[in-house]
Amino acid sequence: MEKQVTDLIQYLKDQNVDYADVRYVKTESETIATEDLKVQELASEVDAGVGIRVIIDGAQGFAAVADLDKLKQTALKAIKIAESSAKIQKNRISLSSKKTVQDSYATPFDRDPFEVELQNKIELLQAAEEEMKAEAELFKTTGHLKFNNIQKVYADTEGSIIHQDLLESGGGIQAYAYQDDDMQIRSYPCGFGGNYARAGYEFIEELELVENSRKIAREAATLAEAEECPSGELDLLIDSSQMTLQIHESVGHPIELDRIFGAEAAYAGTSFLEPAMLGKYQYGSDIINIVADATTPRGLGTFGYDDEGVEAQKKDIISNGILRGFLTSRDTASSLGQSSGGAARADGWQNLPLIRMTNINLLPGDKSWEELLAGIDDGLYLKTNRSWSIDDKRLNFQFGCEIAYEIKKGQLTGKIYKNPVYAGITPEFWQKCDAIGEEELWELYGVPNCGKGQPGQSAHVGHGSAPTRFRQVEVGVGNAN
Amino acid sequence: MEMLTKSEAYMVIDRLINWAGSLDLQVKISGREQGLTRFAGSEIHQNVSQENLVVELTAKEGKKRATVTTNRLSERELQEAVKEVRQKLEFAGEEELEIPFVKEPDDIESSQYDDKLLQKFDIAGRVKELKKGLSQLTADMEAAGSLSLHNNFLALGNTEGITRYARLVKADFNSVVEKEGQTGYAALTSDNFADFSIEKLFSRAAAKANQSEQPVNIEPKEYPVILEPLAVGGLLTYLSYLGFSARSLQKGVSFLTDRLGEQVFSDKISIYDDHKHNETFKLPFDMEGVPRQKLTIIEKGVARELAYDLKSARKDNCQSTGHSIGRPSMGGLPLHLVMESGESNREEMLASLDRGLLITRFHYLNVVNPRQAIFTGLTRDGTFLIEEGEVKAPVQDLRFTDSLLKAFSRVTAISTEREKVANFSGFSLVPSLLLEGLKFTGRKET
Repeated sequence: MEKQVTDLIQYLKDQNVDYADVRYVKTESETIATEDLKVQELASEVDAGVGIRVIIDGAQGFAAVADLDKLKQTALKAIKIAESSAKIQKNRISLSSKKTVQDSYATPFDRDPFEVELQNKIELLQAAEEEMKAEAELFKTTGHLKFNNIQKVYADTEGSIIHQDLLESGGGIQAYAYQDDDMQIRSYPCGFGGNYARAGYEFIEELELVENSRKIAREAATLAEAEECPSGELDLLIDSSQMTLQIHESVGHPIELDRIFGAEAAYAGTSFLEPAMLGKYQYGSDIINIVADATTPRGLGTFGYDDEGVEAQKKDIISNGILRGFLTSRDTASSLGQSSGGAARADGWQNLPLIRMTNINLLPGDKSWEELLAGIDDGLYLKTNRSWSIDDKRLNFQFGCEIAYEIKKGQLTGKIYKNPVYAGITPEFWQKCDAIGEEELWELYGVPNCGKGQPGQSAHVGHGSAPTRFRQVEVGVGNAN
Repeated sequence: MEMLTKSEAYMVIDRLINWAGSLDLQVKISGREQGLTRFAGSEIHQNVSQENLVVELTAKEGKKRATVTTNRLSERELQEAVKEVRQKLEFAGEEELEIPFVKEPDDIESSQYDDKLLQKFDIAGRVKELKKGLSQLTADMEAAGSLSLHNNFLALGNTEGITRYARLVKADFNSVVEKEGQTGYAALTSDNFADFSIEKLFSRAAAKANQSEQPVNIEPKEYPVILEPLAVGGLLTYLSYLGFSARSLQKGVSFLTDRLGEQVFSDKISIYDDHKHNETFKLPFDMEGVPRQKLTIIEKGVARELAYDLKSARKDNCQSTGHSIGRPSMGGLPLHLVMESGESNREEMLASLDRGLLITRFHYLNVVNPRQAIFTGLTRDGTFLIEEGEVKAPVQDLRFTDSLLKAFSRVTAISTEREKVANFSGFSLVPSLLLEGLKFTGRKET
């Protein structure tokens, strides 16, 4: 495919464009879903095509096509679109400089999931479901596995040629229980259909779906009979499975520089952050250290190069509570006089790269599990995201979890509550953080469905964190009765 | 290539079915040409086009079923796809029930579309319309949004001999206009060019922005509310996703579980799914080829009928209503939602309020408790305090958290006028609603 891509770059140069890049992306995927021990979905997909971006006189056009016989025609369309864009353009697009490379990158893995017998994958999910059903009386059980093999060839008029082979594996199980008028769900290892990583089938084996199934079955059945989560201001210990969502919505999205510049104003919204806040703004308490790290081993937001051919980087976002960086692309970084942070990512071949999260990780603190608990006299340990909503500036949030474990006098009492919901204002909430779990408690979760942009794009991103403690958070606001 | 005619699509289907031999096979072909021009800060920042043609093969044998999807369409690659689906079927585990392919009627065609949309909203046309619209904004205003054209077709056939073909053309516009930090919004999705006046839509958003200057803070608590069509459409989309499918009842997550035949909303509310309604888009069959039926989902507040696909219907021992979206895990979903209009005009609805809120639209709606239909979300782009029947002041946006079973049981007026509002895949036709109360639980900070 490299020849077709580089030939097209030459063709675009011949058309006298100021800049162009061409991305060929081929994604092969396999989805397996079971429900109540039966196969619910068995599907595979091949999706390939080419996306062409051109810049002419500071105006941008993008055209994408699946039919590889129409590449030159589509290149001319991208040029026509750029020429049209120029008619309503106030500021010229300027790309920050980057290193020109000829390179390749591949996700490290031990076991190719596409080589694993289909029957073995189905049986794994069914075995986990059998364990759940044996453990508790449940309304329903489900299991899910998904694998993506993504091949990319990138070239641009500056001379870069990059090959990438990215492999993704993910899966999870769920137990449903209900009583009277309330349905309760417990998921393992997290919500969003499970946990995902850029890794091979070894990741699925390490999830130990069967070994962890009985616990969530028990919890789902117990939740169905549990009391509603109490309301009030309580100390919270938030598990990594929920911190993933907390980081995603209240840090990951607000630091996207295109959003800060208003590019998403009509759709997903803007951000409470402004460029002038860099280096000064107190985002949270001084123990908060957050990085955007596209090199995190196994991260779902890990790659060799972003979709502008910029090398993967690890950047400080919040250091000791102070805002230090944004997620940037070549054009947005240029506005700040910086080089790109390597966060321009496209959903497949058919979409223009936007600024997307990579792996936005909360670095570990110094507290053991016992120390985290010991500091709470009356509070809750919250686990596994169930519901989420945040305003268009990313300030007022309200998140729900699957389960709340009661903490009294520094100990888990064994009592659980259903339907826990907590709310806050982003910087006020992060200021309430007074303890973060140590490195051995740190876990990485992959989110395969981060939505942004028009046309809508879904990004695969990662978040690492340890259980984290917050003081006096508003809890129970979702109880509308 | 992306827009196959009916005969071209049927030729591809025939060829695939021939290659399949004795294999029971369903073939679905979808073509898409999409052009979207996006603007922010009153200038174009993303202007894009995409073309794709996808073939989906579903094979079955008894209770076993497998699907292979590809957009690699050479003869060799399509033959490989047939081979792959055959192999996958061999190793597939059994599903709970055997689901037969559709056998009748032989053919359904819906080839009509509004060609003016294609002519007027091509690359140059979109830019021309946006330029006119943006030029009427005052110097202290900035706009963000998009104008897009969706030119699609869908064809389907199976080894039972049925064929289906539909052309689907629609346009979509939305814009936030901002003035000194305050915003207004307007949006429209339609398959009829005559519905579109981009200039008027910009004017509407600009008027809302003008009205939103110097918002006041009010206490989050329960208020009577007038929900404009965009706000109603947002809620209806989520209600439908969460609770109007038989599958959602089978999963036990619908707020209509154990409530069919009961009064769930005010007797002023009736909700249908009606693909034959003049103001809904034209897709007379579903993703399994089943002819689409009209559903009376809510009749004078009583929960009546649910959307079925083949699998959920087999499970409930009834017939599919023709609402498959091609994902058995989701079941049937109504895509042509129509909420019955009422008898009030906007002025009458305002006049009837001593104190309450007028809400343009909601942001980031999500479910908090599915069985009780508790939702949360924030008001956005035009929220106003009404006192003694008049708009008194814009208010700082608020978060609501409330059960829509409760809120929609307290409807006091419905507007005569309805608007087309984008839903997950097409658009719904909805009026404004006056609710006796909606509970607000937080305030957006600035």
